[in-house]
Amino acid sequence: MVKKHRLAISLLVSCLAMVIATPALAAYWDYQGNLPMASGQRYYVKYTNASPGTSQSVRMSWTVGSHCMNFLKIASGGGWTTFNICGSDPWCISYYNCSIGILVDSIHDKFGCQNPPNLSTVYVNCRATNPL
Amino acid sequence: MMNRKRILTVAAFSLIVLGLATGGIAWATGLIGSDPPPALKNEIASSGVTQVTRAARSPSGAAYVARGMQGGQRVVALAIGDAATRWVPEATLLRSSPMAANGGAGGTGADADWFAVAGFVSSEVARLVAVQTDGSEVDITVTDGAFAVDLDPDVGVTVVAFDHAGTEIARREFPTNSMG
Repeated sequence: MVKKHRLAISLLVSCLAMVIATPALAAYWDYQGNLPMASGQRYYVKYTNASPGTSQSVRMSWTVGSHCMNFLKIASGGGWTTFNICGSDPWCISYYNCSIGILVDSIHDKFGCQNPPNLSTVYVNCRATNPL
Repeated sequence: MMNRKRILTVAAFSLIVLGLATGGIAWATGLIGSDPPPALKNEIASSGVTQVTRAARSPSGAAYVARGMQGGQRVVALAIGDAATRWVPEATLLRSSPMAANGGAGGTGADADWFAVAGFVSSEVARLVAVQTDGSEVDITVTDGAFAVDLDPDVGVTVVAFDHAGTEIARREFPTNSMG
């Protein structure tokens, strides 16, 4: 009887932990989904949360075994820069999980992740928020 | 005699003005970056890396490779355009491949205005070549294991490393550069 009671409590605690942990985990990434999106847009970007002159950290993890991807900055005037990254590059945090710092020129700059043109669809997790 | 002196003075002044103007335009258009680039300076400041030296720099300044010291070990990082990598121990950099190469591009319209590649190779590599999709090849100069090069932004590129026997030992393909 006591054992059953303990088991029920353990199950309850586990379920509660799952419920609490899931939204916290999902909220970490700014974008989770395919690139290109259903609209055909091949990138996700969001406004910087860093000050001009400092660096915006951008992190991306994507489908293991797929092709190389780009980190992306779109400046306030429309100019853009990319940095091509592969899942096994030595700069990555772990396999297909990489980050980079990109210079912020203006509070109107946007940062994120891009699937280079003409390549197959990839599922990505993208975060462009300081701190990583 | 006086006229010749005047002419020389005017000529010298004109050359100085021309030099300053050219430098100003190059700086304004981003052709001449600071050394090291601002993005890498930020990585230096946040990581506490010391004794930073330039290992390679492309002629435009768009690609930059650096070495430094962190916790008693030699570390390396690179910057392309406005982006910079974190610092990584040089001892582990080429553990899985004899070449580490990254590329970056930038533009204002749909197509890229510039494209640059930078990285490191091991001592196994005797020749490094950028093979472009238009069929042309560009030999890449490697200095003390590091390289940085400006390439044609209008074509795709594969950087290929050959060993001393002329055998290909590593390659990295870069897609066509455009915004989409």
